[in-house]
Amino acid sequence: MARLDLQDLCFSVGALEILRHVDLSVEDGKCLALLGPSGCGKSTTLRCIAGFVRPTGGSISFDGQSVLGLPPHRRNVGLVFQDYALFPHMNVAENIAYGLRRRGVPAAERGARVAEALALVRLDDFGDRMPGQLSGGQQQRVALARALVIRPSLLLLDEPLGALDRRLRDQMQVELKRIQREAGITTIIVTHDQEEALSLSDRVAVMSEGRITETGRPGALYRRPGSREVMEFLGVSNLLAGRVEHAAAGQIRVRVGPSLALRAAGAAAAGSAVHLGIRPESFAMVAAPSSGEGGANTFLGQVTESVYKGSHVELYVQGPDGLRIIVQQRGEALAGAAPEIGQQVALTIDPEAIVVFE
Amino acid sequence: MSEGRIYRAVVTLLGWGAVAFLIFPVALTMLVSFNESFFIQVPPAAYSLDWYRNIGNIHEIASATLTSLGIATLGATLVTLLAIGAAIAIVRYPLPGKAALTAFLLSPVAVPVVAIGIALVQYLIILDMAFTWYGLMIGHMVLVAAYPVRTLVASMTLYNPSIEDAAASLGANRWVAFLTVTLPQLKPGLISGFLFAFLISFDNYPISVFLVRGGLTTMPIELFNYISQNFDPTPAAFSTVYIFVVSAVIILVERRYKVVSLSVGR
Amino acid sequence: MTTRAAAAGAALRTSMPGILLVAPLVVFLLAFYVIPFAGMLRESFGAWTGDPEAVQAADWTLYQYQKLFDSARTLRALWRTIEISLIAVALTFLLSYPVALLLLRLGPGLRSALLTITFISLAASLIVRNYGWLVVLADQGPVNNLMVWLGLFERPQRLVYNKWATIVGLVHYCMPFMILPIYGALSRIPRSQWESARILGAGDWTTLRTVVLPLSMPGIFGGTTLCFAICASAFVTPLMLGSPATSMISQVAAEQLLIQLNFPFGSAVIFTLTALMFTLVFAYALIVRKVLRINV
Repeated sequence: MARLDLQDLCFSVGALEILRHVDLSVEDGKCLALLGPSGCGKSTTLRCIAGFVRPTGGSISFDGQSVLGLPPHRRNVGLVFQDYALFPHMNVAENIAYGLRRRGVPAAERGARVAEALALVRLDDFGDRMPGQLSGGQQQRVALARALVIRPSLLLLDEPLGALDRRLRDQMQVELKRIQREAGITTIIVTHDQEEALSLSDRVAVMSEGRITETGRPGALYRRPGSREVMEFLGVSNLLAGRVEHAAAGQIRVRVGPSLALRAAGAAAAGSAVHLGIRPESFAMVAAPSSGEGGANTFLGQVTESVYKGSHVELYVQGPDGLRIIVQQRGEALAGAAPEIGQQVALTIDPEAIVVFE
Repeated sequence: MSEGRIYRAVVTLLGWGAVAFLIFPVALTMLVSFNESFFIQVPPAAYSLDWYRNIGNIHEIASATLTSLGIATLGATLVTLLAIGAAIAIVRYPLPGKAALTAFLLSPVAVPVVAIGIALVQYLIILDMAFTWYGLMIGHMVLVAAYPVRTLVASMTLYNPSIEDAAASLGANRWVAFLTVTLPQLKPGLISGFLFAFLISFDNYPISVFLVRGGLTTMPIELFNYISQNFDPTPAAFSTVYIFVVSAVIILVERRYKVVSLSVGR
Repeated sequence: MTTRAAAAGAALRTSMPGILLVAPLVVFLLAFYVIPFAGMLRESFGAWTGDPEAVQAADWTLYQYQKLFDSARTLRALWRTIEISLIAVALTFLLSYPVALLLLRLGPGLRSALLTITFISLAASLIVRNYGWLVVLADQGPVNNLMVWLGLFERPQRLVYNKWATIVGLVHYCMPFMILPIYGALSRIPRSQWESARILGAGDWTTLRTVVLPLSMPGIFGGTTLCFAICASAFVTPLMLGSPATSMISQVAAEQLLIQLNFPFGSAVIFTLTALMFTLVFAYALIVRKVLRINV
C-alpha cells in the first residue's frame, strides 16, 4: 500500500505531446478513476506508472520515493490488463503463483497464498482450469487475483470491465468494489465509461488531450462539474446559451430566449454570456398552467419523442424559442401515465440544480 | 432445395475424388511392396516380405540415410535458432524496410531449387568447402531457413504481447519473461518450423545432387539412383517404411502441438 | 540538419534491438545465398564456351544469353516449362478447391484426419510419391489393367516418361500446397457472409461464385503462386516421370553443369528461369490487385 504522486508528468513521441504536465495524487488505500475518451492519454499514464513507458519529463513516486529508475519488474505494481493477458500455457493456479515464484516465495506459502487469492475472487475450485476454459468474467477475476497475490503497493486496472457484457459488468462492479475495500489497496482505474468511474472510485480525474481537466469526488463532479466539457462527458446534459440579465447575492437571472429567462444559483457579472448546464433528471413536471409564462423557472413545451428506459422515461421536449431539451422522469413520478407525443408539458427547475459556466 | 442437394453432392464427390487421387499412389506403393513378383504387378499375384529384406541392397542406403539424418537434424536446429531472433525482430521491433527484409528472408523457397545448388557449388569450390558434409548442410540450410521463420512469425502474431508486460509487472525481468512466457508460447511455431525444415532437408535431391561427390551421399540420391537403375519393388518397401515413420512423427507432433493448424493459412 | 541527424540517430537506436536479432540470419543468407547468386549472375556474363582450348574473350559479355536464345532446344524447354507449369497449376486448383470446400463442411474429427493426411502427403518424400506414380502408370499397373479390361486399350500402353506423366506428378506434389492456404482463407470467411448471400437470394452456386470465391482469393493467390514456383523449378519430377524429349528448364541447366561442366551457360539458363518466374509472379500479383481489385 502506498501513496502515489505524479508531478508534472510529460510524455511525447517526436512532436506529438501525449501527456502534458499531469499532476495527480492518490491517497494511501484510496481508489482513483482516470476517466477520459480514448486517446486522451489515460492508458499512457497507467503505463508510465507501471514502468512500461519512460516519461520524457516529471516524476512518479510511491510513498515519496521516486520509482523512475526502476524497471517494471521491480516496481511491485499489480496490473490488470484490458485483455487480462493470462498466460495461456499455465493453469489458473500457476498463473496466480507466477509473481510469487519470481519473488522466491517458498512452495508451501505459495500454495496458501494462491488459495487465499482464489477465495478472495470466489474461484476456489478453479485452480486446475486453463484460461481458455474460463468465461470472460472468470478470466477477469483470475487476472485480479494474479495482480493482488503479490501484495502490490499499487493496483492498476486498465478498462477492467470493458470486455464484459452489461449484466456481468454490473456484477463485477460490486465485486471489484468489495475486493478493493477488503484488500485496502491504493488503486487506479482507467476507463472511458463514466458510470464505471463514478461507481467504483473515491475520486475521479477527468482527462482530455493529455491533461487532467478536473478532479473531484464522484458526486460533486457529477452535480457541479467545473466545465462544460466535463459536464457533457459525465452523462447526458442540456446546455443552454444565454446572457445574464440580473445578478444578486448568489443568484443570477439568465435570458435564454425572447420568452424565457431562468434563475440559477451562481455568480456572474450582469451582461456576460454564460452557458447553463441542466441534468435531464433535474426537471420536474408540474400541472400545466393555463397560459403564458408559467411560475418561477417554469416553462411550457411539447413532447416530440418519448423513449421508455425501464426505470425511467426519456422525453424530448420542444420548448419555447426553439429550445430542445432532454428530460428524464422516473417511472413512479409519472404514475403510469407517460406523456404522449405532441402533448403539452410544463417543466420546472430548481435554481440550485443549474450549473453556470462562464 | 434440390439445387442445394446437387451442390452438396458435387462438392462431396469432387472433394473425395481429389482426396482419393492424393492417396492412391501412396496406398498402391504400400500394396506393391508386399508383391512377390520381381516386376510391378497390380494386384499382386502372391505376397512376400522379400523386398523389405532387400532394402539393405540399395547402395550405401544405411550410411546415406545416416548422413541425411545428421545433416537434416543439425541444419534444421541451426536455422530454427537463427529464425527465433529473426521472427521476434519482425513481429516485435521497428525495423527499417521490414516488408522487404521479410520478403528476402522468405525468398529462398521461391527461387528455383536447382539455382541454389548451382550457385552454391561454384561458390563453395572457391571457398574450398565443396563436397563436404558441412557444405552440403549449408546448402540445405539456405533452402529451409524460410520455414521456421514463417511458422514462428505465424505463431507470434497469434499471441498476445501484453502477456510479457504482465510477466514484467509480476516481477519477471526480460530474460525470465522470455524463458517462462515467450518461449512456451513459441513452442508450436518452433516445433512445426523445425519439422518442416527437417523434412524438406531430409528429402532434398536437387541441391544435394550438386554438392555430393565420392563417399558423401544422401538417402534421396541413393533412392533415386536405385529407382532409375532397377525395376523391382524394393523402393516400394523403402517408401512404405518411410511413409509410416513420417506419419507416426506427424501424428504424434500434431496431437501435442497442433502443427497442422499452423500450416493452414499464410 | 543536426535535428535530422539526431532523428536518424534516434530511429537507429529504437531499431537496434531488432537489427541485432535479425542479423545472424541475414549474415548467413548474405554469405551463402546472396553472394553465391551474385557470383552465378556474374558467371552468366562470362564468355567461356565450354572448350578448354578456346581463349577467354572480354570480361562482360551477353554471349551466354545470346547462345540461349539461339538454342532451339533451350527455348523449347523454357516454353515447355511454362506450359507444363500453367497446366499443372490449373489442374491442381480444380482438384484442390473442392477438397478445401469439403474440409469446411466436415465434422471436426474427419476434418482433422483429412488435414493430417494432407499434411503427411506434403511431408512424404517427393521421390517416394513420384515412385508411386511410376507404379500406378506402370505397364502392368492398375491404369493399364483397367483400360485393357474396359477395352479402351488393346494391350498395355507406355503411360510414363512423357509430358502428361510429369504433369500428373506435379499436380500430386502441389495439391497440399494449394489445399492448405485455400482452406485457411475459406475458414476465415465469417459464417454470416455465406448466410447473408443466401438470405439475399443467391443459391449455393451463385454464393460460391459471387461471395466465397472472391473472399478466398488471398488463399487462391498464395496457393497458385507457390505451386507455379514449385512447377516452374521442378527438377526431380520431370527427371523421374518425363523423358529427355520432354525435359524442363531446370534439367537443361543441371545438365550443363553436371555433364557438360559449362558453368556460365548453366548459370545463364537458371538465371533466365529465375527472372522469368519472378516477372510472371509479379505480373500475376499486379493483375489480381489492379484488375480484380483484391488485396493479396
